[in-house]
Amino acid sequence: MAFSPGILYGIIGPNGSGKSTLLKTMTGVWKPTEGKVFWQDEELLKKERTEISKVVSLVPQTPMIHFDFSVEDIVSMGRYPHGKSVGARVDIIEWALRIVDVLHLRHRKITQVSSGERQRVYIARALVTESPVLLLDEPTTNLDIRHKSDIWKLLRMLVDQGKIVVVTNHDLRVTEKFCDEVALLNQGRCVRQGSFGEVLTQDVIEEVFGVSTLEV
Amino acid sequence: MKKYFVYLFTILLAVVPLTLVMGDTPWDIVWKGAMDRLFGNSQQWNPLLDERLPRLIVILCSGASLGVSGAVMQSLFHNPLASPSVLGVSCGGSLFVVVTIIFGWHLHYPYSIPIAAFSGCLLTLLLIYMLTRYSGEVNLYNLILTGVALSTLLVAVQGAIMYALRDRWQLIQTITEWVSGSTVDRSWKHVHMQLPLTLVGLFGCWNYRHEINILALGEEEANSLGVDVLKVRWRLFLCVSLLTAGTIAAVGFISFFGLVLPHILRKICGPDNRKLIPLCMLSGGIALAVMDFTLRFFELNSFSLGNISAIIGGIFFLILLPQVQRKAVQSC
Amino acid sequence: MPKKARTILTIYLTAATLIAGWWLLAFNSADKKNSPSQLSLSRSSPLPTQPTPSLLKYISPLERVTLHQALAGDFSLMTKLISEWDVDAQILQSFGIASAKRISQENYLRVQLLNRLLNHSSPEELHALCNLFRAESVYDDNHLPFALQKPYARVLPQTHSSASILLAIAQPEQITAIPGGMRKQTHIFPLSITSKVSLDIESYSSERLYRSRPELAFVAQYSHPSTIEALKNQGIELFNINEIDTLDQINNALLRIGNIVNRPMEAELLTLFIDAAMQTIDNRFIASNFNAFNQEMAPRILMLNYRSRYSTPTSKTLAGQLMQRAGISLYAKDCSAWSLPLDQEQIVNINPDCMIIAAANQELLKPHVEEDPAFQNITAIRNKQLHMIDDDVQQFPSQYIVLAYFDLFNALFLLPDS
Repeated sequence: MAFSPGILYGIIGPNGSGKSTLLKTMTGVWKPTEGKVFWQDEELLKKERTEISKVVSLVPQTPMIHFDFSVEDIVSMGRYPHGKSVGARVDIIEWALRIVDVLHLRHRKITQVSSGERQRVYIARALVTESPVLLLDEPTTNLDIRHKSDIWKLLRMLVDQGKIVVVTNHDLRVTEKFCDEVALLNQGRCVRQGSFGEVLTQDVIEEVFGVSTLEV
Repeated sequence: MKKYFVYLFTILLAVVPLTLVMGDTPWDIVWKGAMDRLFGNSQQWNPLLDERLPRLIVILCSGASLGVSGAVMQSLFHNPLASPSVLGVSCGGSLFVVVTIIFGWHLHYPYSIPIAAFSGCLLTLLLIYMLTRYSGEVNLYNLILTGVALSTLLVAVQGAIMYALRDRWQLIQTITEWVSGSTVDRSWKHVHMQLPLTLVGLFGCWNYRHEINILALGEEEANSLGVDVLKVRWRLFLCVSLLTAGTIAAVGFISFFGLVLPHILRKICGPDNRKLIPLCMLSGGIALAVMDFTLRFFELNSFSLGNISAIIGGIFFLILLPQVQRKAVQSC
Repeated sequence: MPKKARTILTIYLTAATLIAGWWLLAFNSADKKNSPSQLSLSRSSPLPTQPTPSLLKYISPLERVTLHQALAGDFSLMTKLISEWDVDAQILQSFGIASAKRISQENYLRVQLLNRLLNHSSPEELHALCNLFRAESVYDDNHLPFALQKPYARVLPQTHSSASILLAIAQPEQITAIPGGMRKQTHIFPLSITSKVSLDIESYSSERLYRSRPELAFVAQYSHPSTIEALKNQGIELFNINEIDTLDQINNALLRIGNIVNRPMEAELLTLFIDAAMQTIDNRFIASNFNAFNQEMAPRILMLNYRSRYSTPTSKTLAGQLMQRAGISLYAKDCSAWSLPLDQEQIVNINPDCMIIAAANQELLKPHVEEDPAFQNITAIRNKQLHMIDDDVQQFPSQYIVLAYFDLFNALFLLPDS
């Protein structure tokens, strides 16, 4: 599989196909059992942990909350790969908070915001890493329609700025609408990569999803 | 946040002179003796310089060590009810010190106790890691299971030794007193036992305060945010072991302190370890000093510092428990 | 070496060097400061006797080993010693020591009579005499009566005190088992004595208990509850001896145990011997002019125990009572606890002229105390008046309280090695 700047990628596939696993492997959180990850012709996972994080950042699907850090603290942790003084780039942190519309929640505890707001906080954290690659695991699952739309617009903006944005999504219609390219996974393997229409042919839909049509 | 430090420094400024002044010898004699020692030719043992001051240092170091260890362990294990002894490192240190006392080495070689505590704690940590690696991945779940299993074994071994020696009642009394934790008759020897371990341990925990925050989010998240989880966690466990070893060597066992104090402070200042760790350092030392002062002031000879810490800690724990349970239900 | 590995090694080496280096420096300099001096190598000296010379040389020598042998059940030796001590008391009185204690004429004759009966009676005559001397009933500490029309043939001591007394006065076949810990205290109970009873109470099982069939067990309030239950289930009577905290209680327990096991004469003789021995040691304190000190001149004597910290016994303990009997003022006079903890500062402020430490590991502890920087200016340390005595007998409520008293006297007035 290959990902290039300027293209908004969607990773699709049935449950258990390995969408989240793929993202975690690409960030080095999980070690791949086979295959390698390259960034600019260099093996990414052989680099130092901080270097990997400067290149690729992950917005997890359902992050565990063990302690009630403030929203601002959570977002500022995204600056860690750039040095220990995580609060140093206040301007970037504020920008990220504003752009995902959680600036007004900056001092609130993460346990006191809604799941949708929490999702946006984690997106903001990924933004402050300033990584050229952004991986998002089901980023709009818990969002209302307005924020869903805002997030996709944001992702589009980031893509236009030259970032590589890869999003996993269950909602095929949304993926079809917003993603430039999709990669279909099934049982841990990439079945096809290309435009939505090229990838999701009738026989592929039947074979992979076990249904005859994408309409519910 | 700054106001908490101001309050704590104020309390410290009150506790320090009280601790140094209170004692059996009248203050004027103590002061005169101290001045003669410092500026005169006297070599005479002075309560202030040779007992009260080192005792205060040991108490402050122990309180800081326990507080910071607790904060670190609670963040690493994502559990606000974790304590420095959750991995069982303290059980290893305790066992080695008990063996040292049984053989009377502490009377021959004064540094046998810190070496025993240090070796016991470190060997236990190494053993936990080796066993965890042997049985699978070195993750928190496996570490804690191995730690619980190993600490159960170490406690059982110590219990078996004590049972076998139950007829040597003087030894059993000595070990019982030591295990209960005590700050009586501390000297510069105890400061030297503890201080290097405390300095290295506290410096390590302070240095990794940012990483501890990120590790508190979870292993995968921490990894994805650029923290080398395996390396940092190992170093933090090492620091906690050093802090535990220092405390065991200097004062014995003080339980519950490392669990309750960081928990309370987290409620006051939040979970950010950049604030929590220095706060634990300061308030841990102060809290232990206040407990010790209370014991001495009221001449509560029937209790040791460890007893008082466990009782007060237990009461606080019971008060906090409903809040923890409520929070657990809410997050579900 | 790669840079990363070098950095890691540097970090660990720096930390290890700091810790090891600190310890080496700190404890090296401490060793030099506290290097063994003549103080620790020299023996402790006896208390200087003031104001008049000691009369000890005029009375019979008193040796611990002899006392020990007698207390272990040598009734002839007991009688011989009592006779000698009576002469000693008369000698002291002839020197004008009116306060010298003598055994009463009645008790003296009683001792002689009991000894002759024990030595010159055949087993049948002895048995008949025991029936005569034995009380009709005795009460235990729970005020339960035990009728003694028929004596108990086999008993089981669950406590060290009762076992110690039984080993001295009873026949070995009467004792079913003894506490295993006693076998390890060979300095009190030689193997020649404890080997006569083969079983330990700790390795007792209900079946073995059933087979050996003791009729009565001597227990205390601290006896193991499940053991008490097992004994009751076997139909074994339980004789509670809970309080042995004074000399009188020791003698009282001795007499009751003696009656239970049909050894009333031996028990009575042993109690008389204990009283006589305590009196003779009192006389030795008098003979060494200890009591001649007036209040201001009396040396400050501090008895201590050392576990992980120092403490001094109160009058609740046997050791404290012995101190008071010897006329030594207790530091912890009005204390309801068994001991009063003392820290170094308090000991320094007391500044005793003589320190007696009861400890198990005397050889290790003595130099540790002598070389303690806190104690260097204490009079007792400067004048080599630090004495170590056996802790086991000091706190042991049995006939060996005599040895505890002897050790106290020995520490103060005789060289430890003599």
